[in-house]
Amino acid sequence: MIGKTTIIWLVLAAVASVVLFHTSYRVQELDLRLAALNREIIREQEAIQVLKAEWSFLNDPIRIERLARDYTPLGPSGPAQIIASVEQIPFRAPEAEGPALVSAAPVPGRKPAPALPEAGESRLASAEPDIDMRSAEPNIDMRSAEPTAGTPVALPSSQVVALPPGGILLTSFGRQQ
Amino acid sequence: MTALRLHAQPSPIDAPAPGRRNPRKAAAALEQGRSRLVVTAAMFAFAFVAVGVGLVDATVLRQGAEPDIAQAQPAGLLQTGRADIVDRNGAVLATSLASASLYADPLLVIDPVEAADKLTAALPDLDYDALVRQLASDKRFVWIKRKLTPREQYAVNRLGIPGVAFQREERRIYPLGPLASHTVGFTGVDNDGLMGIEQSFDQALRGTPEPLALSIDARVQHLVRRELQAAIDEFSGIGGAGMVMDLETGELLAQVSLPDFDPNAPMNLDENTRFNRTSLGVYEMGSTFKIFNSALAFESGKIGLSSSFDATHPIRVGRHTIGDFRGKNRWLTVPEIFIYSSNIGSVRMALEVGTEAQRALMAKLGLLSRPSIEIPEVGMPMVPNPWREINTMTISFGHGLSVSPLQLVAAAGAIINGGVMRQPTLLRRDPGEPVLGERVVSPQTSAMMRRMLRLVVTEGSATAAAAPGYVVGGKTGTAEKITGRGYNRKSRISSFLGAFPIHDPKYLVLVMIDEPKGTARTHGFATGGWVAAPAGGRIIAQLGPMLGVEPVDENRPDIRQAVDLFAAPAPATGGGTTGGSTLASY
Repeated sequence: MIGKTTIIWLVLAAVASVVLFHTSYRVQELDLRLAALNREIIREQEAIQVLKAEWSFLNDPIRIERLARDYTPLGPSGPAQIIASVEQIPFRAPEAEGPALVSAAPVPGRKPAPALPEAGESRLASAEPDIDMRSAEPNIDMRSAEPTAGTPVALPSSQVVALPPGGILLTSFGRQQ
Repeated sequence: MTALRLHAQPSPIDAPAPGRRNPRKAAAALEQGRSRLVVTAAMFAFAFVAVGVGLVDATVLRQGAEPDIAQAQPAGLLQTGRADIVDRNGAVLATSLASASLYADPLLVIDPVEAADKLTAALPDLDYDALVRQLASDKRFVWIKRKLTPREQYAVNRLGIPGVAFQREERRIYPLGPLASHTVGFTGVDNDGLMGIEQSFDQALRGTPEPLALSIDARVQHLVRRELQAAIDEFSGIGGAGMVMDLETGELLAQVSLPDFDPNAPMNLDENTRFNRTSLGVYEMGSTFKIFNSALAFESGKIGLSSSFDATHPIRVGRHTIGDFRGKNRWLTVPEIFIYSSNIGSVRMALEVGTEAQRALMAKLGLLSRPSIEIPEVGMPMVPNPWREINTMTISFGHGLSVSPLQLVAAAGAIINGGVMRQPTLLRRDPGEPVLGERVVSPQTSAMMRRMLRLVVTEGSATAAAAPGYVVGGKTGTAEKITGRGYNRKSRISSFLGAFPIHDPKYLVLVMIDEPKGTARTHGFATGGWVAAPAGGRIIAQLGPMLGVEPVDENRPDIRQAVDLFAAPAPATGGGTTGGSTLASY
């Protein structure tokens, strides 16, 4: 009887100490891992900081404007191309046939080409940017009227002409001469 | 353990020696011993249960509430020595990047000459002789080069020179270069702010990792800078200033002073480049001051839209003559005085209202005291003291009182936005934050001024500033600069101040060119209407779409109702001869 109790307690003590040591080693291990992770976080944060600086550098309006002038036929958008609120969009004439107000998105990655006005094309705007600035057909500015504070992209001197569901920002800048 | 032993040890009460004691007594003692044992055991059991409960509580239950001994690195923002400066949309204007600085412990350098040979080969911009001297000295620490690029660091690391090591330092980077150089400023080699926001927010930037958001919009800043530079180039100006202010909040969306510089390498800046023309420079503004003079006239109650003044002859005051540029030489109504920019008429209006009222309005508009803005480069206006009648006369058309473009923008904003003076700011305001303001003129005066400003764009000197779709109202100004003891007809300040859409003003634009020279295209003119107004118009035409301002048909009846004066004077005639005045403002 006495022996049994003693044995039970001894076993319990042994189990407790095994659990204690196990836990203690685990804590040490986790401490090391935590320190490593913290170092990694700082490294990543520094990398993010560098990338943010580079992102800003690459978004330099002067640079983007030069690129846009050299590689795209886009120019600064004028008042005729802006629709600041949904109310300004007129309703489609009831007899008009054709796709919805904004037609299908362009193929992502495709270089924007001058949209050819086609019969039966949307009466208001096609999602393909209308590059001919003299065209009377307005482009829809899909941005909200208020630039949101959290926008990560500096859209330098540019207008988002169309934002297709694919998420391509087609921007326009530079001086159209 | 004590309890275990108590249980395990054979108690003397358990085995009494038979016959030696009274059995009844022994039974009582046994009973007593048992009950004592029970009490003791109960106490120990209680103690153990308490310890057990405490253990469970400490290890299992309190986990969440207990302070973590292990500290996790806060996710998100890197704790740098200096916080970022961003524009209103989050584009980084200034950031801190970790970089390596090269130093040496000369006592550990074995061969200074060889080390200097290798180092100058890797870093060609080092001075060889100075480096040898440094490495041969008996100090324990010398900087060789601060803030190396990663490429340089790699090159030096490859050399493997003993006694040479790197120290981690932060380097301030301005990714957008000169875009907002005068506003953001720059830092010195020890990352202390030496100009602009970097200087005025030096302590705040060191304290928090949270980026400081400016009211500047990089896109707008670029647009203004580009158009201003184009105007300066075209008219061979020596500099210029451009600003865009949000009339509802007083936020400056752009603050451009040209020429500017690259804050990444702010070495050897000359005074002209470093000079912030928007807030530090004070200038006699010329005709844009007629905005304040007309507002003063309306506020006095003595003068209305249909009042007219004699502008037939130049006014002689002492040895000065005040005349008109392209003078009409007849009686002019108040709107005519404004759109033809008649100095004579303005003087007569100011004299009718009086010196005291003029001075009081100028003070309320903040034109007589140092303006408050979040950068240290702020100029003190040059206010005449004493304020004589001659000063009243010249100030009516913008001479004799020098103010900074910042003051001009803030004061004109107050006249245009409905009559409430709002402090211009370079920090982004939260959209919900109420904007405090002090009423300086009545809403009626403000409404009349907006109509008059519109008239200048449709029929007056600022027709070049018209931007179809955005109903622009504005005023041009040309002032001669004082060189030496007198006004110099050849060195001018030409400016345009415009607001749009004028029926519901949202943004105010100022374009100012320093010392423009006339070209063949402008028939030799270098006035505000020829030089600054076209740039202002180009800025507004691009600014509207950029900021999502709704374009309207300018001939819509309700718009015409809101911006037309009831009696529009005859359209201005082109051409004309230069007025023969010594104090001209047009």
